[in-house]
Amino acid sequence: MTLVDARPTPLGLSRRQALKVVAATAALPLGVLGLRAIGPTPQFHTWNGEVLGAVSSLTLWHSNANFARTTMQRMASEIGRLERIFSLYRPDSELRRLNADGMLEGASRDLRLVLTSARFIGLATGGAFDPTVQPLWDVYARHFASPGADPAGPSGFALDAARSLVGYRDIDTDGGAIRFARQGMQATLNGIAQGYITDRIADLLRNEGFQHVVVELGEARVLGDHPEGRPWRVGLRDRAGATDRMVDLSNGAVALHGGYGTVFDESGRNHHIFDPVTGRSAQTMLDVAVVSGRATDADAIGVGIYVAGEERASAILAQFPGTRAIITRRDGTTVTIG
Amino acid sequence: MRFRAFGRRCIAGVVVCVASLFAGNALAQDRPPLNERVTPAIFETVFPAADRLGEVEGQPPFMRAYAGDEQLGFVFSTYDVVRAPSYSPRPFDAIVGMDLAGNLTGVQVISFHDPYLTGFPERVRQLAEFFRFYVGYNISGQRAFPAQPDFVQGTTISARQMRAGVLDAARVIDRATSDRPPVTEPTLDLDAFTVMNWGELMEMGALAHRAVTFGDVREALAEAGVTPVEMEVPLGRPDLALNPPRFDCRFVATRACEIDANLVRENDEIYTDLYFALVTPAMIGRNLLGSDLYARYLTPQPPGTHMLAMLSAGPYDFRGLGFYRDENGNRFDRFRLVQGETEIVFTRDQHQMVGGLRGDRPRLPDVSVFFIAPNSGFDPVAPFEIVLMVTATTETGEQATIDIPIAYQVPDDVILMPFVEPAPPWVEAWADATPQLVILGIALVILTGLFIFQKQLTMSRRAHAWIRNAFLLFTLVWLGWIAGGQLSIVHVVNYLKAPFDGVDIGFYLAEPLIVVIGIYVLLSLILIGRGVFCGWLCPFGALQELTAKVARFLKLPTWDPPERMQRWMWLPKYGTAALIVGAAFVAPAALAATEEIEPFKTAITSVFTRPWPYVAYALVLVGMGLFTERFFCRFLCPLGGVLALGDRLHIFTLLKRRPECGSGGCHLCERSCPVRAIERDGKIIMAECFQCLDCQVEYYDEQRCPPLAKGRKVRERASRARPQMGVPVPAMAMSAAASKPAMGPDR
Ligand code: SF4
Ligand code: SF4
Repeated sequence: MTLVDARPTPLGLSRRQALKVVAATAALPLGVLGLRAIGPTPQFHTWNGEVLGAVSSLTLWHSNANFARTTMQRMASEIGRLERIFSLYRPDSELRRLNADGMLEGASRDLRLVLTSARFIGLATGGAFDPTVQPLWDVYARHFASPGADPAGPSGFALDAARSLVGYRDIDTDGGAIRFARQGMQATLNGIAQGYITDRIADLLRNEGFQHVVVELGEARVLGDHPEGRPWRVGLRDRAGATDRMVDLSNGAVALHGGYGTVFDESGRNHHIFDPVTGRSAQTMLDVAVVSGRATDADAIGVGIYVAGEERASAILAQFPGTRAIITRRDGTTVTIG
Repeated sequence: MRFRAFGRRCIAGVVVCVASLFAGNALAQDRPPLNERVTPAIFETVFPAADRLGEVEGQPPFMRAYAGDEQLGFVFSTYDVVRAPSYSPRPFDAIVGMDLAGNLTGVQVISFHDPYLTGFPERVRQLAEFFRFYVGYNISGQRAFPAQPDFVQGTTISARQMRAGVLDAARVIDRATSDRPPVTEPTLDLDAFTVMNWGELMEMGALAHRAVTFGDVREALAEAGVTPVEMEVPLGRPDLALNPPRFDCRFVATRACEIDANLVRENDEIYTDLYFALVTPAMIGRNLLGSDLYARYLTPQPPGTHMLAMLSAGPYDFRGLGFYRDENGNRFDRFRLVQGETEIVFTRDQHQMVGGLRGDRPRLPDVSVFFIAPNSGFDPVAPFEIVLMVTATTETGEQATIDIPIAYQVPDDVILMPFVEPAPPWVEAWADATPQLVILGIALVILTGLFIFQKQLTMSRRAHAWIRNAFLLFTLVWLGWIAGGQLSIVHVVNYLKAPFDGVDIGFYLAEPLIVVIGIYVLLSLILIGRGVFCGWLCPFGALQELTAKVARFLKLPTWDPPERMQRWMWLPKYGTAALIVGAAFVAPAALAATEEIEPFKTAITSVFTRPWPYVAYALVLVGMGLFTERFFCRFLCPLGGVLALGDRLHIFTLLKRRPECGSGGCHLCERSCPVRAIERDGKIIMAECFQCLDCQVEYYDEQRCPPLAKGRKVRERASRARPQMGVPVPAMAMSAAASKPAMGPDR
């Protein structure tokens, strides 16, 4: 029995050896083809739930059902945590406590991040997007809740009072605590908080290596393309609820804002998108769909453009590379900007 | 107790009424008053069982719904109570009926402002359909939402928002009208009531039943060794055959004949057919006794009293005569109640005779209710026994008593459970993963065993090869491809980022397999080193090793870097690890891309079903591994890099060396190491060792390890010289060496 190292070196390969190397190298892809033929095939796995009061779902494309299910359970766990921060239904949520007390010590990183992006987009839209319009909302809701309400909307006097409480610059997020500069100020993170949750889950999923994902947690964002190799097709609902309009989307988010989304009165003139300057519902366009990389941005920019109007849209979009807006004018014509 | 409860409710009502003087006015003008909104048609829909409504009362306002004089529940409006918005900031209004037990009896939405509902009669119809599924739903939320039909898009959001509003409102009304404090422990539900007949009560388990036959009593007496001479209900004779009737009785039925015939008691004849139930809960008591008797018996008792109803047919009724005798303490001597240490014997003043009960039920002529005093130590929700006692006087004149225990547990339907928050998602994940955890647990026990009995394992070349290959196959196919349990640098990154991310623990716990493997790897890393994971539990490692084994079998050429070069080549894996961890903190957007260095997602988790570029990359790595054992592991793997760093901590080195190894002149193990973790001087670089134990197989090989072989030859020579003192040669080592002579040098 010999102990001599008999391994040949690659340089000294015999003809036979070289053939073997080639054959083995070719065998591997064949093995993979075989494995793909007999192994599990990827398919969609869906999670359904409610997030911040909106019907939500998560759709993953993966071949391992176990892995997909575990992943969705982990995401559900994370969604639950974020809900405990942003929910307007839970009296102990951070947002409710912030609005009630006007300040919040030891706010979570998530709440601070959302307020920071809100502030940033507020700046970028010249104040057209403002997260502190909640007092206006209250005035409208109260006005139209009473019988025989003036269809024109609340009185200028009531609005002035509420408007004095609006101002995104007056949210102080320095340090660990969040503070409103004036008593009675309130933030509504409706939309942007959903956008944040959507982004957060999408990012986590991307890090887990999922390539074809639809995240609809109040806002819609997709990862990659449809597994068929085309972009995802997202239907945009119109005033009547039909979804004939489609946007192609890959690796991005889309948010649709129209004055008809939530209306206070039958005429639909008074709705939830307020112009912080006038205190009235904005009437610039029918609706706007913003496509952006992140759901947080898409939502807030959309509100900003809706309030600011078509003329200022390109200036706003220019500050967010890779963002475009599809505006439906009041006369029904459509224009894409950006 | 419901009647007393009304009293307390009224007092509470006063306080609420005072409050409503202030709060009421502001709201009153918004919408017509509640009683105007609840039209007869709506009332019929939301509370079909009731026939009239009381006045509007309370704040928030509600009306009591009655059938005759009996209150069945409440009717209220979500608008008055919670003003919940649906898919419109203007609150919707739904009229809701709820019974006293908190079950919804009907919901009708009467006004809404939802843009996707207004003008869509079809959707409105579906909304009504949606709520029809909630009839009978208990607002405690302990049951999952009922299954619903699919919905046209657009109504779903509204419907669910409205559902939330309805349930919130119902909970508010329930709390405002109920004086029962929220239960913190299982409590008997005294008030809940639905009409149930005898059969339904039996099915629910509300009644215990035992038919005791003469045969049973005879048997029990015989077992106790008692020969009864006298009994309250004598047993008579088992059958006619033993004592045929007198001759004349066959023709004339005299009185003597009748007595005689009565003394015949066949074994299957009923001695007593006994039913009993705890009837304090209205659900059982009112259904069994009827509303009148139930209230009449319970109301005068001090609060906390419980009622036990006993019903029987047959000669041996549960009462007996003992309770008539003062000298006996007026005790009932035919049964007692036993609950753990507590024994209750009832006396005459705790007894209420009940007349015959009508209804669709077995004929049970003897019915009584017994009262259990509040201070008796009796726990109504715990199981207890009624022990039926049969006493006999024996030949010697002694009294002997036999016990026939019958068990009882009040049914769950009348026990209020404290509200439990729904379990977090990770709990569900662990429940789902139980079978997988069992398999993994067994595998880890086996693996631990292999390391403990390392010596025994490596003494046999063949056993080691088989066991190792089998384990690697398991790791690849089951752990990796089927269960998706590939530990990865992604997990390391997640755990490292946890303190900065605010993600809560549930996020990590929701991956049961990874949690278990992670803990095992951490422990093994500290105890033995990184090799336990990399050599045995990493599916991608197993894939490389198994394919390389095939390559060795086919005698493909191999290439390994020289020692000095290899030391340099070991370093990039630390670089890739640093790159990924760095990206996680500095450039999160690039993280996903850097993590692709690791082919695990492609080759393991998604079984090569990803797009071709990824598959090609993974294949190149596996292909390199054919010629250079574990090329990726040794030089590139970021997770391997992190583990190799952690390996510096390990406490034990189980791999055995001899003075002859390396510098001592022998290089056998060194060449046997598939990943070249043994340097020329014989030192094992533990951070690069995969604990494959190949070197240990050589270490124990008497044919190949030179010091051992030398010893063997000496012994053999000695035994040839003196055969009578033969030293046995280890058969296993011989045969292994003989059957695979080329294995070593081929490496
Ligand atoms: S080095 Fe990497 S791929 Fe190799 S076994 Fe270890 S973790 Fe798995
Ligand atoms: S042969 Fe020995 S040193 Fe080499 S990897 Fe295996 S156990 Fe470690």
